Amino acid sequence: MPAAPVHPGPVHPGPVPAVRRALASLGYAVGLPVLLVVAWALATRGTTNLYYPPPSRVLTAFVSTWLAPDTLVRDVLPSLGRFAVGVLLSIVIGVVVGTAIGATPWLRALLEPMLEFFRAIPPVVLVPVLMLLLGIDDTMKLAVIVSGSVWPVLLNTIEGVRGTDPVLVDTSRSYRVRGLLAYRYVVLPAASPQIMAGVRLALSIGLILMVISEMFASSSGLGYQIVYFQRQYMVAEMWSGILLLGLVGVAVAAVFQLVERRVLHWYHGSREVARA
Amino acid sequence: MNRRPALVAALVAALSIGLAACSSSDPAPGGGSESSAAPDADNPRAVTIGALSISETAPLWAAVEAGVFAEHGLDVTVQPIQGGAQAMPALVNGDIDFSVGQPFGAMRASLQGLDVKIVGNYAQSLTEGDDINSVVVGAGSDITTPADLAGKKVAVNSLGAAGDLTIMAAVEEDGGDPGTIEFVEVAFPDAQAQLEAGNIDAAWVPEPFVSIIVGAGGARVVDPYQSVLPGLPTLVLQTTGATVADDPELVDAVREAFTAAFAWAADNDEAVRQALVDEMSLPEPAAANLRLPQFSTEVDRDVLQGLADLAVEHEFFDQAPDLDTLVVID
Repeated sequence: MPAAPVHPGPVHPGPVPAVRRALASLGYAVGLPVLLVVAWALATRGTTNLYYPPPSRVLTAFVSTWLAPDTLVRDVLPSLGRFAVGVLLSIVIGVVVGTAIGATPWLRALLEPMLEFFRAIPPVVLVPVLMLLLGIDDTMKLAVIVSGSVWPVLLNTIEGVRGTDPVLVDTSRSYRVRGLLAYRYVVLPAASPQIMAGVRLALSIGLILMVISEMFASSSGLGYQIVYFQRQYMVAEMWSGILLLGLVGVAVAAVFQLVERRVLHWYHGSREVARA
Repeated sequence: MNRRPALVAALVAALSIGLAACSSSDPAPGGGSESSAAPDADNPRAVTIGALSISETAPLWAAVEAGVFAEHGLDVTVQPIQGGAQAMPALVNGDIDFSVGQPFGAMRASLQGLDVKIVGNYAQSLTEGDDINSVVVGAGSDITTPADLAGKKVAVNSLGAAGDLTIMAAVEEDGGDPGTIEFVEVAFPDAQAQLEAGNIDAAWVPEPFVSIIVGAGGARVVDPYQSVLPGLPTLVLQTTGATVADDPELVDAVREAFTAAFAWAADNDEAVRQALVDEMSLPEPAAANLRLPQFSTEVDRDVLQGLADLAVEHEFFDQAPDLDTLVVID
């Protein structure tokens, strides 16, 4: 199921009433998902095939599987916790290390080819190795998430820091804005549009790897449950798990957008001015 | 970005047609496409049999190679499958005609409403001596009896199957609390490394991993199949109810061919071992010494019923599957 478009509809200049505009943007957001579910319901009407459950059956499975308190506590919350910690770690590591590399030309020259090398390794193939090195507990699962989602943040931070406007850097230096102060008020803001683009990628990669990390040496979690249901021929339950993952993805994207708006409000503002 | 109702409508229409096309690919009745006349050697029928790429499949590979199935009028293709859950859609869609898989999976699938039938046995665990699968521990472990497994971390290849079920039953029989065992999924080939790293306390593995781990200083704790349900089938021959109903001659012919194949395999152990080398790239000494299960098409209903009852008792199943409809043997 595709993620619902979370962007509001195009903003029309002119006197469109606010209520109508809100309704229109809601319509845009839920229109396609509703149509898809209706099409799905029509296509599976009266089917007895286990592998093509109707949406009503999946919905029942969703409620009984994922909203039950013990599944929520045992599978869903730990998974989301690992996802959150993994992505936060990726962002912190990516920004800190990326800043260091981006601001130091010789370090960049030294590390960049190696970073590209490690970045190209799919984390999935590392799982058996990580299982040996780190055991089979949460550490391994976090390592899998970080090993995949750190790259977009790291590489974008390097690019963002490197691309800071030299005039800006020189000007601030001549005003004796140095060290942490310069980092906080010059470099970080200049790099933040790129960093946020990296974070957006890290979120979706992190979600995928959260699921994958739970498919190995696990006995709980969203990813584990989905594979378990698949193997137990509980197809509607499996689809309900996939539905939950999609919904988590939509929620994460919505939260990201809120944060991005706040962090980059100056950036969106200045772009709108530039476009006008 | 203009609103284009016509485009949206067309898109939705296209999607619904796509979905309808998906759902209309329900299993074609009959399974096999050819006529339902009894197969004979002059006019062989093409049959695809799904089987896991594990050592138990060796007699099948060897017998197909030696032409045992051709003598019974069957042109057999052995299709490698990854697991029971992957085989079932292929079986239902008619991509494979028969599959060799775990009886527990067949029971589970039938309880979920899939049209699957067990039409013969394939392999069963040994009733005496060292069994073909075992719960093993690493060197220096203080776990020696099944009851010691209570409260420990035990690896199985897949949870909610005959492995963890029989381990729980074995621990309970020995006076331990099976509810305290912490089961974790570890693939068979990874078990030894995880044992040695101390990430797990014990692991349920089949041959050749039992021999490898014991050979490296580990020890057998319990053979759960043998101690709980001696002679429990590890693999059974499955097909769909549609095939059984529409093409009983084919089902009979396949069952007879398997019986003949196992008789042939018993007399041609070398060819069976060679299949292990050819199909699984097993080193020759390992293939020669590998402990294999017993192969037979004779279904032991009582032991299957025992497995089903055990699954209900330990709440793996809500209800026992009806073996009278699941197991089809003339």
